[in-house]
Amino acid sequence: MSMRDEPSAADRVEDKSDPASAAALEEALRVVPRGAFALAGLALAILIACWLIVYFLVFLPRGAVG
Amino acid sequence: MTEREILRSELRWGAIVAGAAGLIFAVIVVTAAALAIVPPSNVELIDPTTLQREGEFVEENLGTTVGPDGSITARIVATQFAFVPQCVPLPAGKRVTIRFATPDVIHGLIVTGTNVNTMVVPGYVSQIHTVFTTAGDHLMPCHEFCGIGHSEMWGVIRVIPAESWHPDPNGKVRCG
Repeated sequence: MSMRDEPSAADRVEDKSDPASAAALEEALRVVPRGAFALAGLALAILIACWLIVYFLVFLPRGAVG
Repeated sequence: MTEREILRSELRWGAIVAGAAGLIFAVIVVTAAALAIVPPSNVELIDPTTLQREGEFVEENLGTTVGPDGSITARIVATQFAFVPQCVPLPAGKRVTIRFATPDVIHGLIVTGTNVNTMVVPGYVSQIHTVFTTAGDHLMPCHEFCGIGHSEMWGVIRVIPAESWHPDPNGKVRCG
């Protein structure tokens, strides 16, 4: 499947009954991914931080088991 | 957004997630190498049908023993529905070996507040080396469902401060 440098399928479909204009949709689609990345990035950062805290402050101080 | 931009964003996010997983993996590998952390990997066979009649796990040999070389070994039988002996004393700050065997079904155990966590499988000896750092009683429940009395199956690892650790002349140490 070739990747074309053209608007996505969602951009191409224009619903005449939709009160939102194509320009407003385009603006939302331009901004929303940034928010999604920020939210996902924050969640990932919290997850990694919690893992590191448990690993270094709980798991390692309990001593190695072999 | 164009399809190309969407693809680029997804690839960038994939790289970030791969980097996060790589970071965790690297931390585990580096600390494991630096601190010599290895998973318990003892493979040792034992006949479960004669376990309590002959060999290492006969009743008088259970509990904590200090060997002539100073090595400290605790031998525990996990059976439906008790650990024998129920209370096992071990010293704080010294390397100890704990050996488990079972004559009946699969059991499991975790020593609370420590990283000791293993299965006990009929036919095999489960062995763990560790150093307990916190004195006091550590509950040791069975964590593998082993029958109707499973919830009543628990033992205690009593970690004794080094200054109070006094084996008897035979090298045995008992709780209380």
